[in-house]
Amino acid sequence: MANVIVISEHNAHTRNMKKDTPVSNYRAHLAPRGPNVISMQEKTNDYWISCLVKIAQTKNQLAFHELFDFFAPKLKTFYMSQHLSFQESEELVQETFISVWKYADYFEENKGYVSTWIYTIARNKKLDYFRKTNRQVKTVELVNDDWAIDTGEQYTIKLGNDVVGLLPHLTNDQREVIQKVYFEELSHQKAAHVLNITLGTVKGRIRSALKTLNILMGDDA
Amino acid sequence: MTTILHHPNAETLLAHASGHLTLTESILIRLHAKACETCAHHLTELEQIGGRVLTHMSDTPVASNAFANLMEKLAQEDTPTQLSVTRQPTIETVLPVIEDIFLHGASSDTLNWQWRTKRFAEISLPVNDTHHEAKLIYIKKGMKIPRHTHTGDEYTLVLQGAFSDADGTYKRGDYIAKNAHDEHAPVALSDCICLALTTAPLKFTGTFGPVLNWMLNS
Repeated sequence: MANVIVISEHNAHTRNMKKDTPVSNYRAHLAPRGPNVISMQEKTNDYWISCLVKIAQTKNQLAFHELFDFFAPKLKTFYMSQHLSFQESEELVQETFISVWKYADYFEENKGYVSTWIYTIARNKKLDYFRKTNRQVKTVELVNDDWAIDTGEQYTIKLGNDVVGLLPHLTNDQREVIQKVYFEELSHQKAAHVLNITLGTVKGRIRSALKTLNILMGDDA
Repeated sequence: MTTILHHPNAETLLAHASGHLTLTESILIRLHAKACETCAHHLTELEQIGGRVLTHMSDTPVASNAFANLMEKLAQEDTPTQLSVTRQPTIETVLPVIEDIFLHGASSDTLNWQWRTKRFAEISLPVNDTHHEAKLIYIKKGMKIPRHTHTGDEYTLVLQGAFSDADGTYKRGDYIAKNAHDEHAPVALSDCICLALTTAPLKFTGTFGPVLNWMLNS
């Protein structure tokens, strides 16, 4: 089965034991992680915050370099996963970090995770680049199809919960689809093709993943 | 702040968070979230998923001189450059004005309204995006827009005032999605300014086109 978030060595191992989905090669994007990923992650977020503060306050290049060393190669993978060339990805990584440098002092408002902040910068750079080069973003399906217009379905996750901590509780199908939504230039159509299932099933899986998230958040609505 | 009753749905928020809306489409969602704490929070949660997965991605090496290049670029940027002057306004260049109207209740009188009737004006915003048309719309109180459908989908954000149609009443901050089949005849309940985005009708023409059209339309 193709895992999205590898939580620990142990889990990763267990999961590797049963490769039963049609897209087990999907892990290709994901680096295997050591046993302390989560705890390291919590620590490093504070650490990355301190880096951003140093950048914002004193234009500290060492702190900036550290952020760059960690995130730049991941961002490059991200851009390349959006069907951008090696060179385009390299340049967009540069542009992303230009924004990190220039807007480090805005991070405060965002609070939370440095990774979230960098992700949103990268996402916006991608969209901007797509538009400048007249490239089709999307996923027209998400926006234009019938159920995207269905205003009855609200996202109902309760305030104050950490959605990320719940990802491991999703079923593999659900997690896999959520992962694809973020990090492939996924159209539902393409996901359906890759997964060899119908478009309706993909929609159903995204819908059910979101529902499961809601339920796990303790919101019955 | 008045309570916002009409929100983008879960899929639209997910599409925005995961980078599957065009920039033009995301502007409406971002503006809505500036006035709507609930949606702002949902978006943060969805974006956290993105950040977390990014952190766990594999590495693709960047050029060995990438950091040095970066610092060089930044040094150049520090010297102020002359911005190009006469640029065609796009939805982004007028965004600060839109935000002022929306978030601070600023007057829109200084804008270059094109009055179509005594009580209805609009400003086209070039979006540089072949799939969308964006407009600021001004409807004076009591004005009724003739019943219509859309060739594509229509997304509307109420910036000031309120209007209603058969489906409900929409106030400042409300986000309304209508598809091509929705027929409506909005009436302005007070002087009302909206940001409206319409899409060209969508037809799948690729290899899977016939199948998709069938699946989506049946």
